[in-house]
Amino acid sequence: MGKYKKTVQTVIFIIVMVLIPIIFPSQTILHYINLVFFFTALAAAWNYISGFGGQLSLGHSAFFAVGAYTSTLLYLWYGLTPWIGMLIGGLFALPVAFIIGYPTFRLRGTYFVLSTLALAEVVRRLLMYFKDITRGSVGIPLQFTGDPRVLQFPGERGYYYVFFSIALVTLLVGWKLRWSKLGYYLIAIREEQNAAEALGVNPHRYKLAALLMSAFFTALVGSVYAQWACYIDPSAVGSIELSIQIAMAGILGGMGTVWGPFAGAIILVLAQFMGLTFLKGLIGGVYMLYGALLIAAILLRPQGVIGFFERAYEVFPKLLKR
Amino acid sequence: MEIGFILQAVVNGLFLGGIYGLVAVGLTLPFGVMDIPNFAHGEFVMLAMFATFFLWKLFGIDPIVSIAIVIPLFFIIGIGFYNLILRRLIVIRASTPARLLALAGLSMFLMNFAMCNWGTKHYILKTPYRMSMISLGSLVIRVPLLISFIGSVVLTLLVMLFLNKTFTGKALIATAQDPDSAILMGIDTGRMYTISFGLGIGLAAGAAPFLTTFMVIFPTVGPTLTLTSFVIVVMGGLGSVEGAYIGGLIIGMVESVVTLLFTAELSWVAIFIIFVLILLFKPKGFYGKWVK
Repeated sequence: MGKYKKTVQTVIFIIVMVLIPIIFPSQTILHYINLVFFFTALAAAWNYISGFGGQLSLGHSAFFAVGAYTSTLLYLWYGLTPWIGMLIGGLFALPVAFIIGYPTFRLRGTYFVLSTLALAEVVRRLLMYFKDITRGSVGIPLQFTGDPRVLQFPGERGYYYVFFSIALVTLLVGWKLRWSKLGYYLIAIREEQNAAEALGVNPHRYKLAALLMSAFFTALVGSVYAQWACYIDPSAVGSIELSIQIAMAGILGGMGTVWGPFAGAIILVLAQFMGLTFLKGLIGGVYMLYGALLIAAILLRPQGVIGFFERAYEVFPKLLKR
Repeated sequence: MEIGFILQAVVNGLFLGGIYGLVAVGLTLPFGVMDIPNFAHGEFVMLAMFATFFLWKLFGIDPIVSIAIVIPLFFIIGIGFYNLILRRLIVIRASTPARLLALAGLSMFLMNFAMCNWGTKHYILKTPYRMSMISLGSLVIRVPLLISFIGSVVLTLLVMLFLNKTFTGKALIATAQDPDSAILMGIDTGRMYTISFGLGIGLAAGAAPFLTTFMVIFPTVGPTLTLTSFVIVVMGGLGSVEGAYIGGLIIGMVESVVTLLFTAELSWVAIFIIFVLILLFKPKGFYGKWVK
């Protein structure tokens, strides 16, 4: 049994996850579950650089917007399916990340976070400026076809499988990264850059590698989002609010932990649900709640909530055995 | 394009840049002393703009007069927020990213707090001199901009006097340069952190009444101001007051000229390019003597 335990666990896990949309056919519930996976994927990608690398980014919406616009425009102009367009969007996000990563990672301190903020604003303004290409603040509405070949599905169920897969992939990449050479380098640099440098670890190179990975996956999620929402505009996909929500999911769960992004995304979506239910009609009410939640979470539990989950995971089987 | 237009844009930008400089001075002080960039800086400017507006609306106080009210008021508010949030962050030894995020959360909270209270409407403070102008040959100078420029120079000079001539000011600089040695010299660094944060918010509030004389007031005015100030602060060198002020003047002129030649959207792109170039070639900024 012991030998196959892991395999059995994995098979059960996959069966349960596949069955969820069949057990919960409600579109509303599935929508919120999709939101959880959406933010899980974003926070997991953000975690590569901000969690493991310790370089806080408050501008991930820049990469998200690049992904969303690239795949959408390729689809509209050349009829290229977003399944391939999202990979090209991911590749386009790499030079964007390089622009800020290259100059700032040579420096220490808070330069990186400032430049991510500035970059997101630049991307948003450029999207507004090139009206001929992006239609500016009017945005691009996408015709809804419900055709899986162009990454659209008739209901939330199809999107569920896409978002679940991408969340799982980003989490697994994070897990691989954590226990890889690159991961150990990043954590060494985060904890004690002088010592890491003295041992011959090049901080500039490894931080840049983590940022590029992070940007690539963030852009992928952006492409999927565009086909999910069927509408993109600069303030929806390039807003600072989105960047802060990504960072929030990351820090609520626990920065630099492998499964934290999932826990953080659950809390974030719960907060959003509560906010929308109880603060209905109050402009900015949800974001005010987010701000308060973020401050409270950091003051009360700066290491994130994933510790609770891990403890429960360890303690629960023991309780059953008694 | 006629040279006169460009000259006009340069002058307008210079005057506007004075206010940017003042906002950036308020940001660079706590940044230099505590090494924490205050992401909610622009939101405090916004709140002070609303305070100025309501002082005018309810009591008929002219914005220039209300400076004497909002600066002390926001100095106290700043100290309040320091004790509420920042002091605790230092006590629990939160990591740098966590500190930055807490301030980003504060920015989000304050901006949407304003939105909940005052909606997305634009408010205009109509002083009698709002539209007045002075003609100097072909140059036209808007009176509120001129007043703002003079005000920004006066306030910045006062800050520099305070830092260089008073004991508290010198202690602030010492804390910024080397906190450990400052403690050995008998300086209460905790108190210096509190003062620098309060002073920063007070200066942000000091810029607000001037801004209300020529700008519209709305809850989302903050983030752009914060971002612009960050670029200015990096350009001038973290913690350098004169650097921040001169950086403000330069950014103001760049923004004004690019807006005239292209569009307002591209002015921010130009500022970003300057920012990246500074990070590449002069990361300590032009007056960065406090950098550790």
